[in-house]
Amino acid sequence: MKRVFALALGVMTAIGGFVDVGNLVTSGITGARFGMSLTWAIVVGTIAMTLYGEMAGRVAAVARRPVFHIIRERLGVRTALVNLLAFVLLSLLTLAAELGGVALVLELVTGINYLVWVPLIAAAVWLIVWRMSFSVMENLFGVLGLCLVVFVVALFVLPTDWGSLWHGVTHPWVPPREGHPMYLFYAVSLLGACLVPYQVVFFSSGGREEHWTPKNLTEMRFNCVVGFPLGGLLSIAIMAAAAVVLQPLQINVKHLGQVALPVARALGPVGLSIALVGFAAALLAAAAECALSIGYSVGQFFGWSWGKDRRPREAPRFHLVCLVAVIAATAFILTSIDPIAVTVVSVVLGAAAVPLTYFPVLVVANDRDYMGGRVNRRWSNALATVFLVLMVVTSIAAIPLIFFTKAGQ
Amino acid sequence: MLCALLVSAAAAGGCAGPTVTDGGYRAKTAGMLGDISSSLATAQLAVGLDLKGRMALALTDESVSQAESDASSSESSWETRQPPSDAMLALHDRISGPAQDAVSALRKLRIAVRRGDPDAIRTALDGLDEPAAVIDRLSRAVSG
Repeated sequence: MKRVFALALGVMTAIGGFVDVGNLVTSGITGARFGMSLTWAIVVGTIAMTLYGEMAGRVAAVARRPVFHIIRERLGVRTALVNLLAFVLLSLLTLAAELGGVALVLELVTGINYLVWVPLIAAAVWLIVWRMSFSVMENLFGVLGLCLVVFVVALFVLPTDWGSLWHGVTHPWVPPREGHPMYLFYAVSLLGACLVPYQVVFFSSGGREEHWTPKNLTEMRFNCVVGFPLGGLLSIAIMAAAAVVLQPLQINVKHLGQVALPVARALGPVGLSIALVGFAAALLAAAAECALSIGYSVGQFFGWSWGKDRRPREAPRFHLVCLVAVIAATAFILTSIDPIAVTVVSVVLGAAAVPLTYFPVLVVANDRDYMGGRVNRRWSNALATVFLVLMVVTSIAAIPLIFFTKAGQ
Repeated sequence: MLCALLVSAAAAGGCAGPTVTDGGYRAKTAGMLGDISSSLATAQLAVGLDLKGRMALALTDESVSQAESDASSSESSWETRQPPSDAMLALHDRISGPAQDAVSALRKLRIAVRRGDPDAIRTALDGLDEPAAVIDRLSRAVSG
């Protein structure tokens, strides 16, 4: 019974942890602008995340090495340093977007400008990183993030034309007023939202925090194979709710509050309040995970003592990096730059940086010196290679698309 | 550094630059009308739900304030563009009044929502119908 509970908790955490500000914003925008015709991007991104998440978790359990430790070992110090810089800059941008996202939720709750909330949220994130135990953080916010299931419930309450939604999924098309570059930009943004590198770093480092061994492989795989796809389903539900309510009204989503309107229409104030709790929990957890991932990556690269459950005096440089990351992201978002614009750019840039993080994981997952008999199977390698090629193509296209579409405007 | 540059570039994407062709000016006009239309629809949806008791917390107030702000900023950014020809100047003169009327109607709705007076909110909400229909018609004409 205890084992079943642990499995269920792990899956719920994976579902809640999958959705962050990138998924909320991009799913809402694309549902309102393109209907369901970009669902394939979430499906592809979720399968790739599941595959590579499982690999990173397996490497953490079997080789007992987290992602950045591997990157430094396999790529050498200089190349890995470039990788580290790209990862840290991108994660800072993501952290800023997550902090801004929580602040926007509090603005929707209280009516007080989001900029007032940013420093308070930053302090809360730092307290979570500093004081809350790893398992409590993961499970509490993961489970609260499940409040986003209201989007699935809303779809059943709304007058949803399921046939039309399914037709949109199976017959992707580009609306005439959008054009192909805009369609591709948002396809890349959805892929980037599903494949954010910090999630892999956090997942594998978390595995080391929880002292995974090969005995934990079944539990880890269950979390990945069930939890991540259900998280992807939540993203699709958010997209579908926007497609049902916002697209017919030709509403162009620019604010987080607009993403919640379909739930208000379907379920009234109770549903809306649950959705906002889900937003806040998912984004606050993502902010803490992002700050930790920056600390993990730097600590692992330089070989420092690292770990959330280690006291500041035991891992001072790790905790200092986490603190500096939170301060830097807070300062950036306090410039009053639009958090939604930051989110969209961060997920597309994330798509550009994905191969840097994922390629070393694929290499090590095939290395018998590290993995013994638990290397990738052939089908797994074939699928991972296809996704890696797709990620490389996406990463080449990402930055030109940002300029060409003015970041989707 | 690159990230900051790209985010700044994205943020600057909303700033008005020179428009030198009729096609470019027409596209900017269609974009502005689309923004206003989206803002009007957001405000109508949020306030309509609020009047039915389906909204909570500050979401109605925020939705309407953001809708007004978006419409106003899109309209004023479009107004700073110089029409590149006489034909586009005529288009500007045809669009400018209705666009300002729509922003003004959103402003009235925002004030009514802030005051919390249901009758004033209903009146202001009804006041969005005509600007929404006009903007929709103009939008079709400009895009078509």
